[in-house]
Amino acid sequence: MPRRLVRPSVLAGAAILLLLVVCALGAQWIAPHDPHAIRTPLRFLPPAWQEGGQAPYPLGTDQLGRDLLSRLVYGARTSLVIAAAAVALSATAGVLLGLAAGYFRGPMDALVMRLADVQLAFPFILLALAILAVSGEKTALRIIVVLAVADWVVHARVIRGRVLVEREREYVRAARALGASHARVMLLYVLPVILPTAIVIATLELAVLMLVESILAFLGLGIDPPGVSWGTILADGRVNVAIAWWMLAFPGAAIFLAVLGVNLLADGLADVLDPRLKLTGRYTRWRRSWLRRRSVPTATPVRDLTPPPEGSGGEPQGRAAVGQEGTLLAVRGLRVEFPTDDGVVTAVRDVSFALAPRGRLGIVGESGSGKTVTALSVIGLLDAPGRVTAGSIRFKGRELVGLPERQLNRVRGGEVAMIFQDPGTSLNPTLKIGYQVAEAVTLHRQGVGREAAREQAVEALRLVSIRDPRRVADAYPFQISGGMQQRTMIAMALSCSPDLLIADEPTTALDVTTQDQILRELDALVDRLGTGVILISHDLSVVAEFTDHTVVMYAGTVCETGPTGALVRDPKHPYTQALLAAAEELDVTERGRLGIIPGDPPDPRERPPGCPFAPRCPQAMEVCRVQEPAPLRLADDVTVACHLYREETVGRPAAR
Amino acid sequence: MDALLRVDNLRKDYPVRSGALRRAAGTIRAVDGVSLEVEQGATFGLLGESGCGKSTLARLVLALEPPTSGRVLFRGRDPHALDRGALKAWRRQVQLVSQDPASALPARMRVGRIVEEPLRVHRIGAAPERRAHAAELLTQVGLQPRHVASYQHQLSGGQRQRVVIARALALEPALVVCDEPVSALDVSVQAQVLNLLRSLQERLGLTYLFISHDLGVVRHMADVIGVMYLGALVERGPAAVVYAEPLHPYTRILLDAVPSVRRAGRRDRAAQPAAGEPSRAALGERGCPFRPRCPLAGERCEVERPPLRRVAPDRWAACHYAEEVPLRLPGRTVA
Repeated sequence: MPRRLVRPSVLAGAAILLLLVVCALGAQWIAPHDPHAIRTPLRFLPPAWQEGGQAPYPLGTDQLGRDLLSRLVYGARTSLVIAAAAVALSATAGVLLGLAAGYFRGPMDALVMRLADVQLAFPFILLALAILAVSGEKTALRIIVVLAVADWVVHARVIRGRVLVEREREYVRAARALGASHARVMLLYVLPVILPTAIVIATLELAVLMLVESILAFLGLGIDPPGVSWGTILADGRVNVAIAWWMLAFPGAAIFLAVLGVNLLADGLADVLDPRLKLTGRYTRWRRSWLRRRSVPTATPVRDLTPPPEGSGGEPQGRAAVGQEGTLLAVRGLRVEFPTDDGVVTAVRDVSFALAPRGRLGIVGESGSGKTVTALSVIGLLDAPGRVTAGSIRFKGRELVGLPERQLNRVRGGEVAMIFQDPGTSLNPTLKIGYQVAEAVTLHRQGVGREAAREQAVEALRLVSIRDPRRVADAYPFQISGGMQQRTMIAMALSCSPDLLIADEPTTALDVTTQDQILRELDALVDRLGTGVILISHDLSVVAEFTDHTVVMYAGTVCETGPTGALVRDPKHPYTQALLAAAEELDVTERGRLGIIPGDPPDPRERPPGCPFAPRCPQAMEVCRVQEPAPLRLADDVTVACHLYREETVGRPAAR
Repeated sequence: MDALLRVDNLRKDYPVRSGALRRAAGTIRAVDGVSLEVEQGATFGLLGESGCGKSTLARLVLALEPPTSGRVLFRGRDPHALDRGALKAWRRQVQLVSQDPASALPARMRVGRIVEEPLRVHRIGAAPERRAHAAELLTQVGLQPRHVASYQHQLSGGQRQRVVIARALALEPALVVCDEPVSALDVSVQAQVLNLLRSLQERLGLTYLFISHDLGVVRHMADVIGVMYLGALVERGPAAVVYAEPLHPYTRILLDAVPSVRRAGRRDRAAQPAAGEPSRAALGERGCPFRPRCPLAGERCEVERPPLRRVAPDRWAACHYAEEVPLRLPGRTVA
């Protein structure tokens, strides 16, 4: 049983619904009396615990002396059956129509959606009157039809929306390319994907229709006697509320509880039925929330309008001051952990590196290597529950780990800026480029007028080689290319002359010619401004061309660091060697086999014992599978974590 | 010439709608008169940046969309001219390996079923035979028969792409359209998949239309390459020669833009490539669409659009100055 289903609220909802179903199925055994039996002498008996109440009629009786409890039990059957049948009908129709509309689009879509518009515009009560009142008989079937006709639109619209997204996915194209028919693609491929959504919507609508049914009954459009539903009981109660409050209160409570229960259950189902949540667990959910984080324009220095407290503790050093030994940033023994359902996942362990002022550091790694988590820790943007559990991050001599959010904000604001992979999601789509840049430019300068701010924004855009900055400033983000968007992000990030810029895969989403231009421009800009840079990339070639120092990460650990030139000329770690071989081979070889690294990068949740690269390493030894290699300093800043290198071999050519 | 696939002056326009009434306000030419030939057993590498129309071309070749004009000829037959039944039979011969395997595989089907699916669609074999065949296909792409019971989310990226390849091979196609087959994979896994594609080609005599934005990957895989820019082929020729000595300024710029580990250290800021990005604005006018970014652009390029013309035996380029490109744009020096 999925753990997320075992929650008190979901269990309560399930219990209520179960009770309801039991009542509906076993009404004749549960109900103490015949719900239709009229006992005139016993009219308006109050509940049993009240004065004048009688034990055989625990909830009292109505104006004809019928037992209220029995009527409620039987009413549950009617209410539930009507609502469930109506949902089944409307959901089936709605899902099929929504599926067809979203899948085929074109005239089919237009037809279904116009039909939906008409349906929504048509007054529901008129429809109900037309079907129920005018024709006279108010049978269960007719009520079901009324509810279904009113309700299909909800299903159709939601499903159509989902299908519009799904139909553009690769697997639909792939199935079509196989020769699968439209019907097969819709029913076998698309339907299973949207079914969970359909089930959740149907459950929610069950609650809605139970309510609507009682409203109809209340308006005199309920099921004809001798049929009894909660709605008709409620309608009886309304007339007699002055003398018999219980006739209103108990059916009201029943409806309330039933609707609440169904909604609680629907909520639980929504959690569980989303396959991504269900199948990959919370770790991925957090990863996604980082990704969402990226949609916040964090590259813009975070807004903090409070002026720095002059000389009042906390910040003894001025901005220009640099920490000991001329280090801009020193990360030592960083460990980041994410507690999950399956235990603690260590995303980053014992990561150390340093960056000199104006330095260029590259972090290279594949998915799951921890390179982005490392960067997010530096800028203090790790999402809860991920946290730094060990190590230190010193920026200009000041410890950032454990720094209060307020002070961290100030660091992020002016001294450290970050740009992300996808510039499109980092810009606010509703604001013009010029406005967004102007906001960033003037963030740390008070009293800049609107005109001046705009001029500065245009100037900032010109600085990142946007050839027509005035036109771009007047455009919305979607009107400019991805390259322009990333240039805008760079302009914003550099606008307050930060000491450190963290660029996380800044050009990965861009074309190679655009990447080249942007890296060149960034190169010249940070040179001129004296900004230190951490460039994070999966592409060793990008890092090689742009940085002076490289950190190679694998499975959350650093396997090698060193001056970029040396690292590329003479890689020490077998993983670095393999990465480099892959890059070089594609550079030069035409056809022929490529040297491969067998296997896949490890799942952070299932880290192998010993060296994480050992299972894929051509030179793995016994020791590699049991003992994790400690970082070893070789000559000149070069550090490697590999058992091939030992204290005594340092200085000699690497054993390969 | 033994061409398995011929694409003949293929064009695809998409309507652009604007305004509240979504009236057609014009068209975007996604594919602009592309002609190419892919020989039996060879790999044609189609190189281009995002939005250049290479994936649209793939959809046209796969007959997933009708072209606006022009023809696709596979073994002399145009799939766009076939009726529904004949088209379905035709699809057995041309299969797709797409970019993102996580999205290309249905999330709620087991791997075995996914690989069997082509056989079911075409009603090939009885259930036990299909199962056996699926297991065999998985072995062929380097997976274990036990993987039949897995869902795609239980596999790594490389394993998923192997499943995609197994599915594409189930119908024993002659042509496989590979649309960015390794772009979504980790660097250390890409080589595995490229090697697999290569060895399958040798073993099964497959023909590939190999589409990618990655010059290294295309260089490694292709015999002949075509370079696309704004919907049109601007250069075509044997891969090795095109890489060594491009005849179109755009190819030159592409090659120079690729970062290389051999240029470790600071970039050489002296050799600035042409600035700018592809601009469709230049398409509507006469003249060369690449003109706004071209370092060689002259007066002639303003008024006359260069056709894709034969510059040397086997070499085609759409540039008025193709013969001069090797001399005037020598490319970045690599240490």
